[in-house]
Amino acid sequence: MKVTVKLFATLKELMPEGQNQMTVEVEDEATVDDLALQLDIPEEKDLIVKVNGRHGSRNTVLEAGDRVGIFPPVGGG
Amino acid sequence: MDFLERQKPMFTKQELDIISNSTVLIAGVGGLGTHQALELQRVGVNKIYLIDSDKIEMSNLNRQVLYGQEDIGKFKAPTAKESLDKFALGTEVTAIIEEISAETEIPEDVDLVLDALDNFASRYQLESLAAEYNLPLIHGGIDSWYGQVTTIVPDETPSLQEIVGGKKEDNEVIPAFSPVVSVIASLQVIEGLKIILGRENNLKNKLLLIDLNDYSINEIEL
Repeated sequence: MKVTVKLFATLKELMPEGQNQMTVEVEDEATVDDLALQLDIPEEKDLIVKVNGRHGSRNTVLEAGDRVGIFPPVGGG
Repeated sequence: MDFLERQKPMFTKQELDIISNSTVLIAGVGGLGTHQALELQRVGVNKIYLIDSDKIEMSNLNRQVLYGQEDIGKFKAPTAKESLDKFALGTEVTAIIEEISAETEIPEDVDLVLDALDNFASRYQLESLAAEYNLPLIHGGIDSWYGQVTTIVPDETPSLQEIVGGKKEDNEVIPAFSPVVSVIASLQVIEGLKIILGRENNLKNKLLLIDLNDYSINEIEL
């Protein structure tokens, strides 16, 4: 199934150049964690996840057509 | 003439009284904390507590706006107090040289806590203290062009640890740039005032993610 993905802030460099969103083919019942792995986002990184505008997590199970935004939490001050 | 004259039309008489009687604790007097303290003093709050155990270093001076070259090696909290006191605008400033820990005692007159720390481990400590004292906590964080802000209120919102994930951070040096720090610190002050005034359109149960590189702002319902 296909989902639409946007990566933000420091993760943006993992997006294809010149694009601000991408369509990604994932397995049925894939989680955000599976998607992150597919996108080469390090496993040990905390992520803030938005699925169809709502707060999700690495464990959120995706459905076809979902819009997924992934943000790295920023901790400097 | 009162120096607050130009902001008075924005608030009711009752709201102005709340602001001028409020006490805010700023946890961390680095980039976010120095900008927040300046703003809170200009807004005319009654009292600010500044807590930090660190001393000023050269690399702080690109964004920690209450310090100069001659302050290197001094403790941040009392030096920030000294800079603020020179403006003589009426806000009482109390400096506390202490690292935030489970033993930290929050003074009983505090109405609001601003997060101006620079790592999540200390922030989780701060949020449990704020919860213990039943105080709202305005979280902010930055990294290069990016920032995030949300409000944590015990029993009303998810905790910061729930929002962020709570994994252990790596100890990389985080790029920090004064104009970005200033935007996030100002948003925290605006949000903190809305919370003590009980105004709607606040960031309870909402996470604001700001990218000042491409000017995108994302809001996530929590």
